[in-house]
Amino acid sequence: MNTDFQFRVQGEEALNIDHSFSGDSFFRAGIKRFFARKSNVFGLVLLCLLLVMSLIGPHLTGYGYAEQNLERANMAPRIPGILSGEESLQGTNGEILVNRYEDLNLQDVYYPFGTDSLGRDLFSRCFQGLRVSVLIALAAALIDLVIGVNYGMISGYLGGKADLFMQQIVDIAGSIPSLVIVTLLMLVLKPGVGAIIFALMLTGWMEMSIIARTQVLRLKDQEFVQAARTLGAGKAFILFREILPNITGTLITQIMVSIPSAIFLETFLSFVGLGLPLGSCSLGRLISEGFENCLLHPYKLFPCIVILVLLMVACNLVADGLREAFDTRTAR
Amino acid sequence: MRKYIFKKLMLSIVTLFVIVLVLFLLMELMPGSPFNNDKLSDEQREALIRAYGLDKPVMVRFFLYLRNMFKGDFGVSYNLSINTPVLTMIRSRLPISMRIGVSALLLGSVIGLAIGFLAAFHQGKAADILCMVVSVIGISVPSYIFAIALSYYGGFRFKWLPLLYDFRNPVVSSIMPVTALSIAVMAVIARFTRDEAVSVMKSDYVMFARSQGLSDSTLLFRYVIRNSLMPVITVMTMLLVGLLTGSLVTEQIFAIPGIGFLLSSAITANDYNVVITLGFLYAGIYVVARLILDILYGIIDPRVRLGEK
Repeated sequence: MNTDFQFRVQGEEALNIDHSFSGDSFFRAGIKRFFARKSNVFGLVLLCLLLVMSLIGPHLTGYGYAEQNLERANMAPRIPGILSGEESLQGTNGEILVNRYEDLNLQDVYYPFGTDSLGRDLFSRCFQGLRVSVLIALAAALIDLVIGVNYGMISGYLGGKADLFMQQIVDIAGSIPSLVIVTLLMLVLKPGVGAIIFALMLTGWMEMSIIARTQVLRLKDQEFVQAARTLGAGKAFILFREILPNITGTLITQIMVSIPSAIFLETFLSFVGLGLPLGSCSLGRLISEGFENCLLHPYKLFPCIVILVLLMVACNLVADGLREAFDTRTAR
Repeated sequence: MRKYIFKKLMLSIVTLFVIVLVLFLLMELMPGSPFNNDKLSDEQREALIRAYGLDKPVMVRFFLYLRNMFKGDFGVSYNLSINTPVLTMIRSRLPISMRIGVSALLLGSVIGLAIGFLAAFHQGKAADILCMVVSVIGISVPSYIFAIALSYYGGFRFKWLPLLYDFRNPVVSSIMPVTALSIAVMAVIARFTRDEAVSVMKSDYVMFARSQGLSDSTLLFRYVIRNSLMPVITVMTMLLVGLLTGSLVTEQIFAIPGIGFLLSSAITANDYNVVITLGFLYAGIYVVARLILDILYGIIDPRVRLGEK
């Protein structure tokens, strides 16, 4: 920051009235604002950690996520130096302490999150489940980008009758509670990740299209667009080369906002028993399996819930940070 | 004004029609039939299908259904409780869901408003940070996880409250479900109230009022709180609808005999009429709530009805 000129107001006190800042583009300034807040950085680091774990997590313990070992079913978590693998079972005559590792005489066997009722390693399963959630999040982002952004931008730019018609469709489709439609859709389709993504495709793009449209309406009559038009630029050029770069920040924010709800949708559907089929592995399925016998073995429910919560918190923190950094209305 | 209301009303009616059509077609595509009892012979199944008129073409059945709907007849249940009119089934369950939903909304809103205003008045201080933490956690964690945690600790480990819903003791046994559902409401309201109050406090008219020498308390109660409440009420209305749908899992966890529980059992049992009616009910509440809000906004703010440019 340089001081261009100063007023000398009585003695020592100097009053700076004009500053010149080095010119940051809107996008770069937004990124600077984003990193200026600790909670945003924390969210981003957490998100990156979770992404890395979703890639390497399932391979860390050496047990495959679908590998069954019925002899080692229902083992409590055991981590060297931290958890002994003991668990207290609530019986009719008080609590009993059980250590299945010692009962089975397993010296150097460690299951950090324990095993489920079929003896599958919960550590591998949790991170495999995280992988499914990340996949769904990516799909949601892609749907936002491909369907939502294009629909909204085209509708906003065309204006007139076409815009009215396209908005009427969004209005009607938006008034149908998506949970009802998605629930029914899951019954019609074969359960699986594909079905969830298809359901997202039908319901997930509307919010993004509304935001993209408002942004285009805001920019489409500004001078730089008019200049391009005067110079003979085509519609596609103006939309994607002139307007799109200027609304990237808002669009990225909206993508981050829609990701948690997509992740929530999978866990919700799987919990109700509609999401992924039995035997597959996702955070929602793990939670619903853990819930079935959480009164006896609460450790089965704990890690997958913690991972889900961390993922949701990380996404929401980043989304909040982006909104504050790029939203011109609340920017400080 | 009349034209604006008429337009919104027509749009709502078209929406409801589309919803019925979509629900009907989805049910059509659904695998399985409502009569999948193994004891039934093929002839008996045929007879049942004919008796309920399920052998007619889709479009004929759709318009029959529509006609009956106008008469207030939503059909009968095929297999959850055979031949009971769907409306009767819903009538006994809706109040339970409504009571829990409204209590959660009220509880969450009151706490959320308090946290939100406190945070706005003490920006950057402890209250503000607390508000941020509460809202991030409340928005990030799905309500059924709170429900599981509450039922495990409050109901099973420490036995403070009944584990399952008990219709002989509805107040005590709905404390946990209401709390679980209200956390998300609280988080959304707290966040929204804070942002709204902050932007009102920054506005020119508040600055002007302050420059006139009004005391802080007058400023808060006459200007800030009143002006930030309106948008918050909008959010509350939308949240109520979300609560009714969101209670699907919570009702399962606490075995509450409400409409969410009914919907999930109807889905697994292929009980067509129940599913369509409940889907229509959810959508109907949503559409009507939006219509009322749109009209209210049109009355309050002329910019809305003249179309923002």
